[in-house]
Amino acid sequence: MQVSLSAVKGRTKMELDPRTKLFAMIVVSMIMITGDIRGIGFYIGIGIALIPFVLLLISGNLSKAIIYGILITFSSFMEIMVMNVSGIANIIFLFLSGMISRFLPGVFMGYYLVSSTTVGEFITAMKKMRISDKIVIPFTVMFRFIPTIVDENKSIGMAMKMRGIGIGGNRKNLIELVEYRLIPVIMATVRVGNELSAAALTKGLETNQKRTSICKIGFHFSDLIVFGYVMAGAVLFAFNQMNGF
Amino acid sequence: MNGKTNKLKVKDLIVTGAFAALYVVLLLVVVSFLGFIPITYILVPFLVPIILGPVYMMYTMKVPKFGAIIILSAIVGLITSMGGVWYALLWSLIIGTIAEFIARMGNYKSQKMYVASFSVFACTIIGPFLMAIFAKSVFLQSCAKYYGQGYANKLDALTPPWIIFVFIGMSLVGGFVGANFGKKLLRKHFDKAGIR
Repeated sequence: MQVSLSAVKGRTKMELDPRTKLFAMIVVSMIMITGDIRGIGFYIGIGIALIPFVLLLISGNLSKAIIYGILITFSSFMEIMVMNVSGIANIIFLFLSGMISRFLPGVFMGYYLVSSTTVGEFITAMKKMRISDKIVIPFTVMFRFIPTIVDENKSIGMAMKMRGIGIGGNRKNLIELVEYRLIPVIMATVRVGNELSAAALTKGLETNQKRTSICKIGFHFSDLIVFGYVMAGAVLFAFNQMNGF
Repeated sequence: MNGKTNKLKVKDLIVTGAFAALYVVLLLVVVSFLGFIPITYILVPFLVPIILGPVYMMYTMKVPKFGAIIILSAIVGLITSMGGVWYALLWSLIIGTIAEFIARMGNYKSQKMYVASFSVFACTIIGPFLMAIFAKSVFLQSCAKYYGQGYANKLDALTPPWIIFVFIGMSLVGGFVGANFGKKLLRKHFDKAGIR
């Protein structure tokens, strides 16, 4: 599973500008988290929740789209079913399904953003928005790096299990447990960080000249459609919030 | 190490990104791990900084320059404000700036100042809890509207306004312990290996 800004372009049917994706992600997560789930708000919610599904489908990520569709349908159904009930178990249940149905669209939009954008495109788009290097570079590296850390952590976990260090192992000292997991990860971070720095030097990131890029970043017709749809959702949402239906 | 210039270079920014990734992943993993059990969930502001302390100490050791801590706080703030609590970003930036200036007072060399700096920085973890004081009534109202009064009342009883000060106190202590833990660990493992 590749959950990072990819280095190579995959097969995509529809090209979207990273800025459109970013905008859509922010709007989707804001509406889903703060939105109403009754009355007209419910239909707006459905319309907005469809966005990640359709985008994932179009970008050729069928399995993720289906997983998302099933999870979101199930959790929002649950949320509506158990609404307005009391009792501890129900409250916990409600809290969980509410959390899932509210956060999931934002999470999957984020997944769509990073899985369908290359590093070069992302940087170029950020540069066009005149965002400082001091924000762009750490962010790009971070998104690129998170899967590496998860990977390293898995391997370290296995290595430690082999030596009997773990929750079920024969070393029960909690501080040692943390130490033997944490230090290798920090080591790996330092090492990979240095390697990335060297790679960046070769790519000439350090020069103070304007960067050129072979990525063609610009707004197309498909951007207009997505932007229009998201905007319509946002306007309806704002209207609905103000009137209180 | 190029300690000559105090400005952030591209190389430093990349290291910042790498450490920010580590920080964020650990933050999310530890919080979701502890979040399963209600008792440890309350202890999150205390326990999480202890795990993150070594990361922070190593990070500040690798990038001892002005701005590094603020950038980290901005990233942590963006992550913690993902839940729709926009105060969290502002809170993180304020905390990060204070932590930055504390580290600066030690000229980016003093270990004691870094320990103090992380004690403050650890407070970024309570960003999402800030809702409990600033927007409580609005939040409870919307909860009552969506989920019924019973849910809102339970939530109200669970979060008295003074709890935020308990959280701040916990994260200050947690940060202090974590930073010292980190200092010890780094001395043990990294000084020997010559990575500094």
